[in-house]
Amino acid sequence: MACTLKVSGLNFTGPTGGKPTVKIIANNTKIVRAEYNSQEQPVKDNTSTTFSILSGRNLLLLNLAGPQEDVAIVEDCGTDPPLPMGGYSNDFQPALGFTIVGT
Amino acid sequence: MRTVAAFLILAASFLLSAIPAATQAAVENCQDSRGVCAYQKPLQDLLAHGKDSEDQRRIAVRNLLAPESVPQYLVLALSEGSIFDNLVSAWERARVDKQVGTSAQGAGTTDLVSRPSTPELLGLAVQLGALTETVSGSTATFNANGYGAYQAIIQQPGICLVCSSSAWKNLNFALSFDLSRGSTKQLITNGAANSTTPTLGIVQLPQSSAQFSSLTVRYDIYNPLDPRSAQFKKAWSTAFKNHQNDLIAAAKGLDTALTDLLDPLIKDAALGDLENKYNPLIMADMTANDTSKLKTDFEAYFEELDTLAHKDIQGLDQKLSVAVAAYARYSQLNYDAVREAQGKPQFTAEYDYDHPVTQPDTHNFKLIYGYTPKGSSGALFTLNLTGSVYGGYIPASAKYGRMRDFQFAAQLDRPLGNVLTHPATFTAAGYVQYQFDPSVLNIGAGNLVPGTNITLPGDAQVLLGTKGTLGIVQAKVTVNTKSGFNIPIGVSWANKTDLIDATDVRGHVGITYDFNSLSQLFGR
Repeated sequence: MACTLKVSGLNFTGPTGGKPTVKIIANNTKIVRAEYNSQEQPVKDNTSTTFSILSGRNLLLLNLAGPQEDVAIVEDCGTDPPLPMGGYSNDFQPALGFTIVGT
Repeated sequence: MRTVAAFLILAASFLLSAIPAATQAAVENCQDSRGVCAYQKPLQDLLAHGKDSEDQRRIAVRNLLAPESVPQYLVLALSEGSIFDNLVSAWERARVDKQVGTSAQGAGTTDLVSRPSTPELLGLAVQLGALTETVSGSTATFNANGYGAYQAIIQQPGICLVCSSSAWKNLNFALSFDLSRGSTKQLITNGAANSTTPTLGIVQLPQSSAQFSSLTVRYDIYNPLDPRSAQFKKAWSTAFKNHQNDLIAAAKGLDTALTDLLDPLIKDAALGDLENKYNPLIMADMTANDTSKLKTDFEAYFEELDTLAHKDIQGLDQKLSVAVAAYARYSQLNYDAVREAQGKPQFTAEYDYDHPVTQPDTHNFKLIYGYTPKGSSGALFTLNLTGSVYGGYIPASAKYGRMRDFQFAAQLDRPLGNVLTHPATFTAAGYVQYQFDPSVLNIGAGNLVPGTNITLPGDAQVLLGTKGTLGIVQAKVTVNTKSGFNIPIGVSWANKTDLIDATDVRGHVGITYDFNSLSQLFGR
């Protein structure tokens, strides 16, 4: 399965209606809540969220909880390698955001 | 006393050296260029990832240039003054688990039970009263935390919700001085100053208006925090579940606040142009590992971003205040959850060296346990278990042993009003002490032998009071002022005191100050 999202400068583009799954890779840090275009999105096992891409530029917010550690946010592309989207090292951040451009 | 003097000198030099240096650093790093200060972490990460993979480099640049990527940086960079610091300090002031004054034994105390935490920077308490002692007194207590002092010296914030753990953070010192007893020094005179004055060979000169009363060393005992360990992962899963609902509720507020800030920005094509303009510049600076150029380019970028934010976001200052409050609330919940995973129950080991005015010195070894019952609106339940032994030389013919007593105490602190900003705290406490022998009273040389006219040629000791059980109950209200001052006012009942075998009802009053309120002075 190919990735739904593509890197475009500092943002991500994807086909309107596409359904990417964004997941967290960390020892402990979990996704507490996910919001896309101001709408709450379902979070699975506190590790991933799947949402439907809307037309235009919209904000995806992920709320995290955990200790100070390395965290990576990726798109889960199934059998293909995951697409690195964001993260931080040796830190804790309550929220990370991504601009998703629906095309 | 040499130790005491050395400690005071160390504390004074720390205060004198830290304040001007930290303030100067704050001007250079934060007030002149708040953007660089707020974005220090991603700037450092960027230089560290200069030779990493393309994806890591892209993410490092994105964390710096895309304002939505790590919104906390943007919020801090755009916030005026130190709103965030003030909110964290407000939360620190609201905590009910801090012990600022001296503990139950000794004159001049208002606290029957030692709480599990202490000020994270410095604390000062002046208290009037007594609980186990017969004679009331007034005591000044100076509290310092090892980590807070170290952070101040290296010009970093004394309080940090997400900083890594340090062994020094768990180490605290306290010194108490009895303000109601002065000390004198005996001096030989050079004779009378005029012929009409009788010759006085020796005079007693006042040396100080206060005397050392006690020294306390405390260490908080947690399970070691290694986020990679299986033990921590298991504990974190449990702690996360316990706090998940609160975190979700706080996250909702945070997301609303962030969306209000970020949505107008990301929907403005000008932000895309700004990112595209600076992306190649910053990428080149990262590859060249050119710190100076990176800082210059980032400052230019942030200036344009600041202008854009003020143009796009209506009511920016108000929205920033809301976002800062939401961040503080969410960070507090995450901090609580991590602390819970780090080690629960929380134990504190305490050693007290007490130097009473007319009794032998004692060494007290205390174990403190603090527990916040679930759904208790911030209430704290504290237990103390203490063993006391007499210090110094005990004569072979003494009718008392080295072991003085065992103590058990319990206390409930309940915030009155809002958990975060409560104006007062109600405290109910109970204390039981079993004493193996009657109390020992020192009678100094020059006093009369009781019932006679014979002056004692040297120091003597008598037994006073009774051995057995001493029980005390106490009710107290502590008024918490917004300025960081707390005023405890309490009343206690005891079945006896250490020297007199009769019931005793007392009032207690004090004033304490937690210097966390001034932490901005000491760090960024």
